[in-house]
Amino acid sequence: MTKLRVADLMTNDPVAVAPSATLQTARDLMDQHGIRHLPVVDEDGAVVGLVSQRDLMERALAPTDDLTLSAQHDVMRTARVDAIMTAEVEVVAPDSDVVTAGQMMLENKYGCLPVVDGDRMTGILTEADFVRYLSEPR
Amino acid sequence: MQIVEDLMSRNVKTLDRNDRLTLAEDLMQASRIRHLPVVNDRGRLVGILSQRDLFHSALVRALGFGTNAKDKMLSGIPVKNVMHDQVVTTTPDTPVADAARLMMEHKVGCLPVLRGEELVGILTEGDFVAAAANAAPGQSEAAPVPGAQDIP
Repeated sequence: MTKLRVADLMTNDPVAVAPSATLQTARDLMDQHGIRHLPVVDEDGAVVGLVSQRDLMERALAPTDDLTLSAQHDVMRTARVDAIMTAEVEVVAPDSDVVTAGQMMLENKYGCLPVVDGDRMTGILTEADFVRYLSEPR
Repeated sequence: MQIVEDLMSRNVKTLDRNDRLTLAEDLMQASRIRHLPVVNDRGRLVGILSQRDLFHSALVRALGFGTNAKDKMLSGIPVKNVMHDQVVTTTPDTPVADAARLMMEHKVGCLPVLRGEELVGILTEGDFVAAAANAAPGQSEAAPVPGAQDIP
């Protein structure tokens, strides 16, 4: 049996956010789509970062403690995603084998890996993709 | 055919219904887990609490997001007020594909594993990654897990 490739499991055309988007936009996208991670993609489709729910809580909102609630909301509506994103992101290629990608996720405790073909993001590999793959009859 | 027992994590951290949410957050951060089953004083499963329940509750939205406000909120509320008491569960001998379908259908990130009424494990999304990666940190003495190329 041939080896499974990342492309066999990954989510195609994932929800992404621009570096210039506001934190509120990132949060709304996560809520709407029920996801915990957003790849940050520039206008050429290149991955420039990753922002997680936890980044929003810990990097963006926790330091706003002394602010009033409405001032916190202003931060959400004005601060940019690239101010809090993780800029050094591990990525995989669509033809990487799933065993290697899974090991990368486990060893580094990554919840997801953007999938990059050449310079462009073509998908994202998340823990949930492994569940979905096994749930599909074949 | 792989069954739930082959993938599940056996050392399950649990909460009591009367524990405060601060304990839940500490446990989740220390163990890097996103779900905690809640048990009663006889060790029976009565609910489940997720990280999402902590950070995305209406309370957090109402009180703001700062560290102090959050800690104040979490330390004042018992787990039982926030947990979900309708829990989707599985059994150790359920085929892994059936458990995966259950997780997809109910949009849950984990399944507590019950043998009869006893909580014997927990199956999480991360356990599926571990199985595919040939690593099995969630289990110790169980049978070796076949590689991803063997996934039916």
